[in-house]
Amino acid sequence: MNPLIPVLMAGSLLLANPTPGPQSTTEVRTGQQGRTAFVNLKHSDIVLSGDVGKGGKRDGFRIKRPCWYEPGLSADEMLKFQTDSKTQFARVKADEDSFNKFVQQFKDKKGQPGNWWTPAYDASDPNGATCWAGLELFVFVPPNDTPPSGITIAQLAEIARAAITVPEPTVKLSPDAKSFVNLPTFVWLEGIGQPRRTATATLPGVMSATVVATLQDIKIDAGTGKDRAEVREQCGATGKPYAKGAPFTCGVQYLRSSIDQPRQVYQMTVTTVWPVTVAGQAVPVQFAPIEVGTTRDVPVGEVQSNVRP
Amino acid sequence: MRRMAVMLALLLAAGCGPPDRPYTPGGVATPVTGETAAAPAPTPAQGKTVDVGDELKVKVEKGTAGALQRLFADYYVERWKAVVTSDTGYLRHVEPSVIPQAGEWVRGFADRQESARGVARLYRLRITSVMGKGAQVDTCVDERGVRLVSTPTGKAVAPQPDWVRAPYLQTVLAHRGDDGVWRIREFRQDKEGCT
Repeated sequence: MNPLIPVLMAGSLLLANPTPGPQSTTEVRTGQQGRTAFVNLKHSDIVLSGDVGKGGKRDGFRIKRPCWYEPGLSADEMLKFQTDSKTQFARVKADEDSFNKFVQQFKDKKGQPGNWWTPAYDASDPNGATCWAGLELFVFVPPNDTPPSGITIAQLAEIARAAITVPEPTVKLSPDAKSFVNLPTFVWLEGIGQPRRTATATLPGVMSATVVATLQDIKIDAGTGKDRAEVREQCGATGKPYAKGAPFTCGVQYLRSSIDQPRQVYQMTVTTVWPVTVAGQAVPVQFAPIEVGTTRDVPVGEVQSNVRP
Repeated sequence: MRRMAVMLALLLAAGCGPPDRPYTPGGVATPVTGETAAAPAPTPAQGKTVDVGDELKVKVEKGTAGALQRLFADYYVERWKAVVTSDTGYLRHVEPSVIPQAGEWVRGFADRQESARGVARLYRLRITSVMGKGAQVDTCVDERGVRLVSTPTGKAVAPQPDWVRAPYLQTVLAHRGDDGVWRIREFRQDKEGCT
């Protein structure tokens, strides 16, 4: 879409409002929802696809530079748009002299090969909007060239990395409701679904980057020290469900009762570890794994026995 | 959506408060603000009230020394002057992409045969971030003392708009041009942050 179309639409909204108030004409969402950061691209043509939607967890990964230029219209296309009498009517009406100065930059490039690049940013980054404000609104770039701060394949991979989601697992324990001192507590995960997740960031007609996250391991934090718990982490990707006679390789064996703990429970945290790679190795970028933790309360009691003489 | 380029703020002000020192909005050739996120220390000598018209005033909190810190305040005052005098000087504070909406806002008053009276107050002017040639400036706007009035009758318009009921946070994103002048690229408002 042409960059000024939203502006013109906004102007129409103003006309429809008899007493314009201090509302913004566009809303920018930023920040986090709980501990889940979300990518919020503004003024961008980049399309995100794959495992980037709801129902998953992101880990708050941030793009190193939260603003960039993207290639857009050719010199003649831009000139045609910027001087279109219908779409630019409001601007001319507001200040014709200013308008004439503004469009001169597009007239100067008429017929020249190349494209106008315009700035975009990730609004989920606290510095994204300010970064964007520091860029020029229009930069003309010759063919096969990229301006400083122009989008790169590595940056596109970062955007995909920031957008990818992985499922938040359900931690299963056996015994479930309450464990006991010296009794193995098996740990495994449910609700993972596919252990391979992908996200693709595409700049249509230009380039795309896909990142792949593969569940490889889980980590267990018993919620207490080694003097009170032995952790076994030969779990594979999703842990080892309890089965009669099965070896105890994934879980926690608590050595002390939790009676003296806050709320009389240990807080066990199980973290899934998803190493992330860039598909096709097109980008020489390495990313840290995505780690998503889930915490469960584990009350641990002591088995009492009475010995009668 | 692609390049949701630029949006506009829609605000108001007005007045008849106690006169303080005269206020002079920043000029075009304002000095370039240094790249610091820290607001300059308050300068007591710069407290000010500006008469926008016979019945409209804007009170600007003391201690707003820098051109960037004052950017929205300057725009705000001059935009109100445009409502009264049709002077388009306020447009020098915005980038070209914002001009259509800014102009529309001002012309809307003439089209509706409306003006404003009372006192608007700008306070907590602060530079919240600077990155290269970009900056974010926040300003609290209190327009509870402003009333829209019908130009032919001089009576208050009914109903009054929502923005006269509570202070709001006005954020602007600004860009420093090659001429060293900061201009507004985007306006945002938030009902939170100034109560």
